[in-house]
Amino acid sequence: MSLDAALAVQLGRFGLDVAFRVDDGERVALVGPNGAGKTTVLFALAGLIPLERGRIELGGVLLDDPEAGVFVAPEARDIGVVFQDGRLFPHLSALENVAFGLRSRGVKRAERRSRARDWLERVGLGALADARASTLSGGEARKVALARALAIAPRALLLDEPFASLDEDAVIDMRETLRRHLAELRGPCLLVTHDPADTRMLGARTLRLVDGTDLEEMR
Amino acid sequence: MKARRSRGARALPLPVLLPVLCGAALLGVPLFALVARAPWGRLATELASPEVLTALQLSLYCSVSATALSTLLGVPLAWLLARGEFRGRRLLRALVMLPMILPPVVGGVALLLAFGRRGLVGAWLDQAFGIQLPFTLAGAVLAETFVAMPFLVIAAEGGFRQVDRRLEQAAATLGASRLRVFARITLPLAAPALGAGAALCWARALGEFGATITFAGNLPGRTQTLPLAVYIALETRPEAAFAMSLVLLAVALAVLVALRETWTGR
Repeated sequence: MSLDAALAVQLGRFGLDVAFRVDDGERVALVGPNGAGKTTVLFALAGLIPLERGRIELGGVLLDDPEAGVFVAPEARDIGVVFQDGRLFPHLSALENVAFGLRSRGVKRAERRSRARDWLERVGLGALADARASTLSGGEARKVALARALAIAPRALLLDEPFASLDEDAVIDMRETLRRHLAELRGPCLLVTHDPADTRMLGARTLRLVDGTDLEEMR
Repeated sequence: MKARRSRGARALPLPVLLPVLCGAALLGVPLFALVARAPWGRLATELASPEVLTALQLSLYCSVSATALSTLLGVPLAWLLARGEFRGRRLLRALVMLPMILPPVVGGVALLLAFGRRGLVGAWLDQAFGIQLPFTLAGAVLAETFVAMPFLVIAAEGGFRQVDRRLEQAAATLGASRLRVFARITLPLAAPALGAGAALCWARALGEFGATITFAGNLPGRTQTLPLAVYIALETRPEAAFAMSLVLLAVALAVLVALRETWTGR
């Protein structure tokens, strides 16, 4: 299952126009300065920003193609997203956050809870299952967000600055957690970061994006 | 006066102090009078009289029904106003807010012209279904809803606006349909505002007078709610009127206190 993307979006004065491919099981890191359009790339792939031109294809399934009149809604894409600030649902517990996506997939309540608990344990947060998401620290929230995205067994995984605004210990912890889980992950994985050290650590191929249009491979 | 003052606090100049005192007195003295002159000794007897009990019961029924109807119709309306992007949204909001400013008696007249037996919709309702709204219990509920629903819609719209849309996006990426995002994310996060709006709406419906008496009349046991009963009793049994007024005042105070806790409790 590979990801083929040609993305063209105009957001006010900012224009994104890039094309790339992420192979099945490949980890690609997208780096570049602030405002280069890295997050826009992720949002377009997730279906949160519709394309104006171009196309997105995942595992042979067309997700967005304005010319062909195809647009698959975000809820039907099966793409896991770990947002920059975690975006946990503050009124739900850590467990309920992780179980959230399973409900839409028709998994029964007891099964949902046991699978969610499992995922929380795998990111080392089993003890916080019943804690309200709004009470978690930044590092904990980020790991719950990772568990939440992985719990739906996504066909592709997108991560937006998974280490941003974490303190040093939390960054080390998160890197280790990510490395473990990305190794098991199937399907393409795209990671946005601004720190090349992150990408080396995760053994990812690195693409550098500048000004929304200039995408080049880094070695 | 040896009141405790925070450091640096200074006495208000007289041109400010005087209107402040007068203003507070204007609002406070009548309420104080109501409490001071209430027939405390005979309160229970007055409130237990059949007319008062009937009016109280009717009032509760009508105001709760009006709040339920307002919630049912008002929450989707509030959501649309907060999240919809369509032509005429400002017009719709103006329409929703108008009953807050409109004299309630005018609302009652308008309801008669719309839902009266010869009204625009009323004539059809009567002919097609035999439904008559004016001077009925359902009419009282409708009149109260007309006047009170805007309070719920405005509060709920504010609540929906405050919900972080990025959370709704996150829910969508997890596979939740729009309806489920609304039910599990948007609605719970806006719940405090919805609760406050419902409380305001209920208090307004409970006190409704003008639209109700105009559209639903003043039929004891059928459409005579508490405020109408107060007005009528004032001439014949003033003590009962005082007692009922006290009840309405207490309810208003309770709602205010409850709202204060919702708003500061977060």
